[in-house]
Amino acid sequence: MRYPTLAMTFLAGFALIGCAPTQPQQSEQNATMVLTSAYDRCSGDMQIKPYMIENVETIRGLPNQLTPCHSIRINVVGQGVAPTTTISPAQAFAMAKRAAVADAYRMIAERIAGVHVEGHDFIKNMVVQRSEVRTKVDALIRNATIAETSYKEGLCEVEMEIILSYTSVVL
Amino acid sequence: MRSRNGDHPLLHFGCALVLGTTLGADEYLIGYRLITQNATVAQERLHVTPAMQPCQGLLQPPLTLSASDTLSTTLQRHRDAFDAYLRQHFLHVQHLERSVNHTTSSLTTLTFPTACFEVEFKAGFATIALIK
Repeated sequence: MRYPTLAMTFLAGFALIGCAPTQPQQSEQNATMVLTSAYDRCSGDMQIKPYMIENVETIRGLPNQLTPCHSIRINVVGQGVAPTTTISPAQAFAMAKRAAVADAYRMIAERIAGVHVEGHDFIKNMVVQRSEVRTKVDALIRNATIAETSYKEGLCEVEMEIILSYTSVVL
Repeated sequence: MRSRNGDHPLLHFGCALVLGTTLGADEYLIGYRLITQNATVAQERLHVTPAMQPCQGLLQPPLTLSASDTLSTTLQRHRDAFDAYLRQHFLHVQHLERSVNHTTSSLTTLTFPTACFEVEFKAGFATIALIK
């Protein structure tokens, strides 16, 4: 009974050596190596850790795709203007901020869900009579946060941030 | 005194009032819509109404605000905090832009679909939690 057990142990050892990953070629980019190490460190329960986000985002030339270990951070700056019929500077600021938030949401939706573009040109006798372009954005946004707000000379700018992670999309 | 069709005329109203005050008193339906036109706010509406029947779902993490007389005034007073709370959940964004002969106009609608919230007024504070 002892010899078959030893034989099985040797066979398993050889099989593991044969399955060991080979060294990456020199022609491969460093980004791929860093990404591979990031995958190795990724836990099995699909939890995205903050340091992983920072490490992966500093890599240049990576494809901008969502993977279990790679999160995408989107920063946009929305702009809004106060209406002319406000009764106080405070109300003007509040209204401009509302408009800026809506604009920031629009920009995030454009980045995430894309834009539907439709154009019509009416040409008569080789002269453009009417040119019309319509764009449409439609999306559901969750967990967007306001990073910074500034208000100057009636223009409010809101910097909004959203982090797309694998778990937030799947779950 | 019985009515002509055999029902008590105030029975249904009384039952609805009792059930409404006991079952749905702390649950409100809240919806929000913001419309901006050419980067300027055109319309903003916050709908608050008591729920007429118990809501189904799980309680989400609550938001605590210093309470005013009613829920509407409380939400109006702490608008930024409530907006941030809504932002944690989902908002529907719809943007339409039209450019005719290089003259552009845009319309952006930000909508929080009407959802049920559990509201508790206690010791000068209002605790608001989304039921989802």
